[in-house]
Amino acid sequence: MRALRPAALTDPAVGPFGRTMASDARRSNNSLVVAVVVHAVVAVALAQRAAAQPAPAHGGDPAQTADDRSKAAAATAAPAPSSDDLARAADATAAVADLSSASPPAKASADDIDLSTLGLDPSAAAFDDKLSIYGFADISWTNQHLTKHNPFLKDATGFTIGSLNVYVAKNLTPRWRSLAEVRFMYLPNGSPNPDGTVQTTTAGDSANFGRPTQWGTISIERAYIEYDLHPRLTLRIGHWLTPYGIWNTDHGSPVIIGVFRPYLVGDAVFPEHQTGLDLFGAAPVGDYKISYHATMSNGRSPTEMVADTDRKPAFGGRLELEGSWAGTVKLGVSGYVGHFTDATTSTTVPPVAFDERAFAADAQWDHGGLHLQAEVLTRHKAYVDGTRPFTLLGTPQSDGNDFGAYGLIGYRFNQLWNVMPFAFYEDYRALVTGPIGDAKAGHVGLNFRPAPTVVLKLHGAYAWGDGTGLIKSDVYILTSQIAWVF
Amino acid sequence: MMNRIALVILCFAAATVVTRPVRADGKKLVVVVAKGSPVTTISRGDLKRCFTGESVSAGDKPLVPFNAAPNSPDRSGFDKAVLGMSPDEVGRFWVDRKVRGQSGAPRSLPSPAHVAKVAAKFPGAIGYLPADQMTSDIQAVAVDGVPYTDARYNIVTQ
Repeated sequence: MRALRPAALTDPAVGPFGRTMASDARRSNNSLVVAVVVHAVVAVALAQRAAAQPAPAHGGDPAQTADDRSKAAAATAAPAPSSDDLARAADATAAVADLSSASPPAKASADDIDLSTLGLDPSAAAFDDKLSIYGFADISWTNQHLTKHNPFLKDATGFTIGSLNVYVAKNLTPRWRSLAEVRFMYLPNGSPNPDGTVQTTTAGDSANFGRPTQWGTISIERAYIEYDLHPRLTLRIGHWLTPYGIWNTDHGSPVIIGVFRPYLVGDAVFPEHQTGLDLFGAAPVGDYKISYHATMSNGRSPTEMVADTDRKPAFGGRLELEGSWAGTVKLGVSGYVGHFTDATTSTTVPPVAFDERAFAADAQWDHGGLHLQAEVLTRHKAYVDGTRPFTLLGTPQSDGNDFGAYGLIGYRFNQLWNVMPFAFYEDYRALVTGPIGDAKAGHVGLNFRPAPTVVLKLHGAYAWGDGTGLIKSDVYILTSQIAWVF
Repeated sequence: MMNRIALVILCFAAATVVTRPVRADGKKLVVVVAKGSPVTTISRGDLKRCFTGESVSAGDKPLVPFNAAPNSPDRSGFDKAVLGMSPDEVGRFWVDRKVRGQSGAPRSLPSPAHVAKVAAKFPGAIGYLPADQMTSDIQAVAVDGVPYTDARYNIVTQ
């Protein structure tokens, strides 16, 4: 098509319009007639050609490139629908259309394809029962600077291996499946002590002439089995991430947009993990999807993965609505009710204990490359008399609320390694005065995704408190990270 | 003279509009299941859920989705039209699901012939292939009640 117009315009019999409109009226008239005739002929011919082609698909992409068009034009056209088919499709009552007779296939499936070679023997298990081992890891470089000297947190610069998490997953039967996630750590080696010193874990390595080596530990992030009670209801039994908010279950560094999550999310207003039962599922309701969780567990405790110290189960739940409103919108609410009892470490001092009720709401909106997300969390703590801890001022800790919220905006481009500039702001007001008291922080950064399995991040943050915390200083953090999935 | 010039301009404009390059669409991709399956139509929402790791059943039997080969025109077209995602976005979607501990992507098959064979023989299988690759032992599934022969059907290769 593109070749036709220039050819017509440069045809010597027609001549360029600029020259045709010169003083020679006769020549001009002839040229005009020829131009009109040529355009009319071309228009009719192409209109007929267009009519002979299959009708363009409804809702197609108008921004198709020339390459796309040429590739598509080179492809074989679909068979033209018969008039019967079109009539039947136009009938709104013909929701169920038997198309096998509309365009009769010419042959059966290929006989030379052996499904068993694909691991798809129809007589075998109709589910993927292969053991799947995968994981993620990250390494960061961080420069941390405090505006005022203090003994609890110091300026720091250097590289850090953060996560090395390995997943082991397997479908046991079509309805039973299991997942375990283990984090390998260098900790406690390098862990800071309250007095500003650092723990070391040095041992003589018998495989290396007793030379010193540092050992690490593991953390079992998740270990559970699931059973599908119904297509819309699954029972999860074991140690799982508490289903609340956005970035508690999305805890892997490759899926977190910044190098670190908002401080309040990491502060466990809800327990990060629980051990017990999680009844969950999802159901489509019209154009929406509703997801739900109901949990019962040992609750929060340093030893919750092995015992319910106070023999008081905790309960929780989550509801999430997902819909397509100018993109994808997710709205969630979560709740948790439990009793915390600290581990008994002394026969003379009773462990800290309190009742807690936590609530959270979260929202996400994705529209093209635009991503917005926000979470609000609150928790009420009521201490058991006789177990109250003491504040920094030496007075018994009163009952009260934790509250925090953050909002994030980012935009994912499809160039420059799919870069996403992002910014978020958080405000956290903790009941128990922590390192920086009531704190606020602003974050900006870039998240690159050069490949689906590789993430590069650059993240700057500035945090400031109200001066009531242990760290009476503002904190600047500049950090970068590479995270990958294997 | 001015009228003629106006006429020429008008004709030129009209011809240019009429003769704008006609969009050459890709091949239509037909959603297919085994011949005789009770599945004759599926909503686009269920189709998206089925191919994004959620359980979708036909009666009491779960549908088992099978994808076209990665980076193939069939796969790109289906992902764009049904999942609303580009190849990069699809890659990130499945990697992120793995990190969350959720199920992985549907199995990919190397060719439309494999899709036809699996759809015909594997219990509960559902796949998609170009319309000219249909075989006699599979049947087309209308999407939102729209058969692939309908002009409104817009699941096409890219």
